[in-house]
Amino acid sequence: MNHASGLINSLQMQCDGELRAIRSTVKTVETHLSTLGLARDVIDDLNLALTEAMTNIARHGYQCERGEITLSIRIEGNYLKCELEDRGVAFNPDALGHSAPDPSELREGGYGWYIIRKLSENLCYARENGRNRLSFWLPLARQDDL
Amino acid sequence: MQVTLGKAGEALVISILEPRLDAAVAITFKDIVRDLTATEGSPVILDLSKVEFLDSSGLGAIVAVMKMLGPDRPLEVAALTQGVRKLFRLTRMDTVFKIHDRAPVAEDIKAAE
Repeated sequence: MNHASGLINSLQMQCDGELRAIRSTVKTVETHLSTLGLARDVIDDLNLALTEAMTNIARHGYQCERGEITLSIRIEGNYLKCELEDRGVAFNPDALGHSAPDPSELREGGYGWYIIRKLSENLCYARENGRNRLSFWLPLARQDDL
Repeated sequence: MQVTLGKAGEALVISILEPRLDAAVAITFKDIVRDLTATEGSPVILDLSKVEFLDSSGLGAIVAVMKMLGPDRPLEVAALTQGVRKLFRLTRMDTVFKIHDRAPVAEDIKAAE
């Protein structure tokens, strides 16, 4: 279940911390941003970064128990600014995802934070009043070709 | 999750008819591909032309299938859409998998669900 309330350049949503609900929330975000005329590759980046971050919250934050994720996205300057809040267990990504796993190790996991870092700037995490708050910025136009 | 199974020469071609290969379907994907590749022998090509979105869980499932098939039975991927290709590049999995630009023309064997 999800609920969206959107202004022209800002979107707030609540989503169950569960994989199917995350899918439909990301789909709603995608549709909303498409109507704003954002470039396909920016929407793809957001889709991937949000899916990775929210899947982490569902799996590690809520450890597959019920819980809610609050999502807020706004366009500011040359960035999409994203913020996620949840009441799951604390996680600190500061030490995670700074380098890519060695592809020859054929790891089945451990790519999530690397992907989020690679796509975003200003990744910040804070634990306040029993809530995790994660925020990151995605550039609306890339100088480099990832 | 819907897939179709075909044969192109020696290779088994599994076409994934699912727009999102993500955490929500990763286990189902692994189970289906394991069942379809239960008979020994032929190389396997995953046709991903219908997959518009792949996340790290979906990628992990593809890697798991590669390991399950073992070193003597190559797993190759074909027809990556733009976003899927980007994830392979970001994680450098494009150095591990043989990537075909197009899905091979396959003779249908059966459709599975």
